[in-house]
Amino acid sequence: MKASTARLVLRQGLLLVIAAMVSGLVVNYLRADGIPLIRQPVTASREGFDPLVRVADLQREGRVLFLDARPEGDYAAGHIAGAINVPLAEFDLRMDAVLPLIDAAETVVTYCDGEDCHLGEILAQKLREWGYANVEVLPNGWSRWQVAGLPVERGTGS
Amino acid sequence: MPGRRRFRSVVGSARLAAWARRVLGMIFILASIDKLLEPALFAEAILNYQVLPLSLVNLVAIVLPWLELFLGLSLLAGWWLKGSVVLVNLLLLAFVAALAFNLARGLDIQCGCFTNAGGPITLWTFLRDLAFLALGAWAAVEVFTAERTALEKEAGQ
Repeated sequence: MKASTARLVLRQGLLLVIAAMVSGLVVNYLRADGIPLIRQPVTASREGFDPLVRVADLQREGRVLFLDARPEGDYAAGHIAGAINVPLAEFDLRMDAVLPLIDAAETVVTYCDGEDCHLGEILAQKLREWGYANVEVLPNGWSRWQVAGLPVERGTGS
Repeated sequence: MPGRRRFRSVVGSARLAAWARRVLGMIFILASIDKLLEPALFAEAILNYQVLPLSLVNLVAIVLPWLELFLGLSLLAGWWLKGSVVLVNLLLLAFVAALAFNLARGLDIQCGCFTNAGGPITLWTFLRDLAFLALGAWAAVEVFTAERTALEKEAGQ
């Protein structure tokens, strides 16, 4: 391709792209159903704010019961203050002791640790199957709770 | 070989190649309409391909349909053919690559090819894009090898 042809291709291509950008942006600005230029992450737009903040507020007001879905060893090494340990493997064994607490709680929040741990979700699903509707999941709950500097405790006492 | 010669004479026919270019232009115009009308749905389709950074998804959804429309008009009317035929081929290459990538990793997503909710990506949509790419290559041969005078006459330059 000759240099003059290449320049022509570049100039025409660039002008077409610019024309499309100008048309697109102007029309998008004017139309009633225009979309934002920069897309926000889905969680932020759906929740409006971080679910961790909301759950922490609930905890301060004593309106939430945390259920820790991790194995007993992880729970003993550290957990959200006031959380009850319900390892999924021992769900049926533990539920007798936990049910009165769930009945009394306004909101139940389950959690696990790590983005890939789904124990919290499975536990929440089981509780919903038992008929408890006010159950939420805090994804990657333990790590995020610690990073946020919110109250934690150790041991198996509670 | 007579068969090959016939193939060459068909591919090399400037008249036929010009029709290939016009057909491709109409395809691009048709493909732009639904996306122009529903940018939010088109943005969802682009997002599902998971090949663009989040910050670019909406900008592409806003600009790409207009680019498809202008390129289609150019190809159809014979305006700015060199620039538009190169851009059309680049776009088709990108579409083919995005389709192949998501077919290969088994993503079950809407094609977003002609309409925002026209159906999932399949081997058929991939082969269809390959056929469009063949039309694009054919049109490029016409645009870059045909006699300048004939083209300039058509473009009214």
